Amino acid sequence: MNTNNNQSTTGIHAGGAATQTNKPQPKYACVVGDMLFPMPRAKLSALTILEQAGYGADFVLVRDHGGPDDVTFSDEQIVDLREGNVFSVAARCDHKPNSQCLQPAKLAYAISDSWELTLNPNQTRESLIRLFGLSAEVEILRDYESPQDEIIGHGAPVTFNQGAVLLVRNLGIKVKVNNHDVHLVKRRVTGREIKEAAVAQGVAIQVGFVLYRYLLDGSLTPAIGDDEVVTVKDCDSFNCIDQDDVS
Amino acid sequence: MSPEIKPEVASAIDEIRRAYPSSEVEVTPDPDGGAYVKVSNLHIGSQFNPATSWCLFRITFQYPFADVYPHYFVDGLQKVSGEPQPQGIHVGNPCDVNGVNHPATMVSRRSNRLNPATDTAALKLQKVLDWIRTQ
Repeated sequence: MNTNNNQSTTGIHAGGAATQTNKPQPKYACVVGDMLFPMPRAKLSALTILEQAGYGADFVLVRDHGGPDDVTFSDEQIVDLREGNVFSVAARCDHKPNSQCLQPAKLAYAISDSWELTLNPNQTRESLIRLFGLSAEVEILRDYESPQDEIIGHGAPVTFNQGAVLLVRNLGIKVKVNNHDVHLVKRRVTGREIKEAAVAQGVAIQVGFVLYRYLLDGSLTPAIGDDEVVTVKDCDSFNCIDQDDVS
Repeated sequence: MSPEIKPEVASAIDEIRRAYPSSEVEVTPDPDGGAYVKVSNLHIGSQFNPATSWCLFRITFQYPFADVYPHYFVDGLQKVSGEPQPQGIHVGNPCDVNGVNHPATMVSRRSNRLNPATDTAALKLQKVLDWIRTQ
């Protein structure tokens, strides 16, 4: 907890006005079209969100709710990410702004650039660990606009509207490669990083081998490319075998 | 009467069934304790005609110490573009199943550095599929 920071922090925070405050502001992010985008503050126009997510003038922003009816925003409407930060886009010609929805908005918690959806704004450190499939030994920190982030203690609440952008330390994900334990230090890794970690930890493979993942039902994924990013969790199982030759 | 399929071969077939849950897997024992395995409904790529095929291969009694190779696909497989077949794809090369020839296209991808501890028939099939899908 950044209780000893006596330096003022100037920043654009909720409401959009620059203020002097001693309290670091949480970071914000939103999911648009299944991709995570950092956002500068909690309240911002729908147009700003569309622009930062790379969408042009032909689209409108639609907030996803836990039901069939979603909320469509006009460009100038102010969107509060603390009320829901999961969006899709729709063709402007097909959708008119509406603000009527009785269902709760979907919420995306982000931990070290991975995100998961929930309708429950009242998470705890432990519920997030289970939601993200993390090891119980990790440290989770609330990510502030400051070099000093806040470690979230055991059992502590992680309420959505107080900042849902988080970091993880001591990730220690244990997977298997060719039935050997391999420890990875981050959740989103490339195929090459998995192989390099396995080689470094004594698995008898080479980085040029082909990497596959077995899913829980025993089915196989296609080969994981060296630059392909996959999200791993404890107990994921990979096989890594040599290339074939034309005969 | 054909000998029973060896446990190692049976285990390889079980793994294939799990690895390809949406495919039918037909098994024909060979005379030596191995088996011919035909996996249906495999997408091989829209660059080919047809884009979907079965794949037939033999797991010999020496498995896992012998390579599973070659692999056979539907007869007459052609590139939609009309380009020549890539090296390793042999059209009009029938598959012999217990002495009976079946029209097929042979794909010849050999594991010259086979590791019996890790190289399974299911993984070999996936490697072959991944390769043919990039041709």
